[in-house]
Amino acid sequence: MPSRRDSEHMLSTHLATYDGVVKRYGDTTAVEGLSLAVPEGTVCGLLGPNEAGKTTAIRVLLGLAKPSAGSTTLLGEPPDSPNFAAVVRQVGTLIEGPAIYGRATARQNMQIEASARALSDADRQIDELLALVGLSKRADTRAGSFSLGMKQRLGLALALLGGPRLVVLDEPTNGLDPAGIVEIRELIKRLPARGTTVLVSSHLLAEVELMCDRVTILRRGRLVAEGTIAELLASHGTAGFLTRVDAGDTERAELLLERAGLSAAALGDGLLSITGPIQDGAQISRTLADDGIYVSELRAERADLEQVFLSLTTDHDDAAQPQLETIA
Amino acid sequence: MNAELRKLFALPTPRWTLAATIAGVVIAALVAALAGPGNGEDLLPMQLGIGLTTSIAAIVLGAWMIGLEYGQKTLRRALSADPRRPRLLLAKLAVVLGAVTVVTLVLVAVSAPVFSAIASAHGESMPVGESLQYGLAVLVSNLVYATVGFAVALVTRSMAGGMALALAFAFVIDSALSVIPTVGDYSLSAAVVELMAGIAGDGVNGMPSGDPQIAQALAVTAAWLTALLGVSVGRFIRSDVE
Repeated sequence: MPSRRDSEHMLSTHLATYDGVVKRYGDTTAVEGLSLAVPEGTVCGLLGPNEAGKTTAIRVLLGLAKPSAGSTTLLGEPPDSPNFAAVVRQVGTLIEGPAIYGRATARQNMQIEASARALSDADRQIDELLALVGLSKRADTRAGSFSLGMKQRLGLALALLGGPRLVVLDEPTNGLDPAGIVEIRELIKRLPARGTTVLVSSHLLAEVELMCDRVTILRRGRLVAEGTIAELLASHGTAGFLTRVDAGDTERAELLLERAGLSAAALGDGLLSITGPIQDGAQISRTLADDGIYVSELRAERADLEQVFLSLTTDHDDAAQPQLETIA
Repeated sequence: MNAELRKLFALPTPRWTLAATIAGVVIAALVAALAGPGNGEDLLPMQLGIGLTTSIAAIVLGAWMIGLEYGQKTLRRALSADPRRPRLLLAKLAVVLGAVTVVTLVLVAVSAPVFSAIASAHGESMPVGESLQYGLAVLVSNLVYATVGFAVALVTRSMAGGMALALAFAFVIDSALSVIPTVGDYSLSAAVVELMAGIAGDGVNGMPSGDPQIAQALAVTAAWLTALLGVSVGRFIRSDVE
């Protein structure tokens, strides 16, 4: 377990950086001016809807795709550095699903990877990692016969081979059952304590919220938000307020709040959900108290990561389109 | 290089290719044993049993080595472990050429005395030394065609496509080119046959009579391989990995 001083030092070191990265495929821009840094000792989430540019950003970082503009570094080295090959060996990857040799066994896949990474005496480590991802009993089974979840576990074991300083995981819980998702999530959360920083891309918001320290949200190749989850939630403030009044006053309270420019929806038994340009809870209680309605309960509804994500990534033009079509 | 060797031994395609090649040699030996080896000087059983089968195996293995990564979508993993693309290609080509050399030489060494004995049993002459010399000529041809298979699979970015196109090139396209006057002199197959004649002598079927033009054959072969490898390797190094 790293000491506090170690942790402070690690956070000041960035294992992966993007500086104004642009990646175009013909007329399509997959990544647009991405600048980002992944601090050591953290689990960083890369969030975005489909075609947000997450996988492209990862491929550029690993030197699998050349950026149209801008630059990246991996463990301080740019892809054209003579040291890049040595640096890449300290990085484990799981990109766009597990890339495995289906006709080789799980163990043979691990052995091939160990040879490619020039790891000597990797047999013990291979056994440990297969046990860690729950594949010990299937170690000598052909990987092509595995379910998607098992292939994903093998992909994760391959990524962790050699004790990498950074692992880059693209949708690592894809295809796993609920128990498997919890297991892999807990494993990923433990990695920084083992000295491995994690960059994980996902569209599963609850997963990201539960396992990531920092989150970067991409939309159409652009970075739209970045920070710790607490910072992101705080920057988007409250999603609204819940208040309770006497059940007989519900309709009048709704009218008063709407007159004050807020939206109120009755949820039953005197409970109201209030949204709109609310300065603070006092505004609500004052508005109602001025007309003799007293609140018995008032609490802020915090925005969760899903609400933040949707507010940042939903294209309002696109969202409006189906409604217009329905009306037409 | 170690990773490529592991793939060679761990994955089934090379084993099946070896099994098919050995079966081809055994069948040729059986046919020769039953029907006679023909005129001992033309080494026909050796040409069918060793020449043809190992040539096909060389092309299949050459295309498999790189096509495998595209077929299994594992190229990004291979390059994530070591991003030096020229080095990856060099390691793969070295392993393929090494495997082709070992298999060809072992099969020649084992089958030459067998074919010689079969020929003797039928009252024909197929000296072991001549068979071994022919085997060396086949080795040169196999190394060239394994490289062709490798380069073509790298261009097509597909194992099946690479194998099919490389086999079509070797046995149809290039052979057809070789019969065109003047143009044929610059076909790869004509150049390879000249090289084989230079090693094995001109008493073998398909070998040109007269002195082989070794220098020209070497230049033509080098030009073909440089062109095929140049196009495929250049594209591989410049392109993004899917």
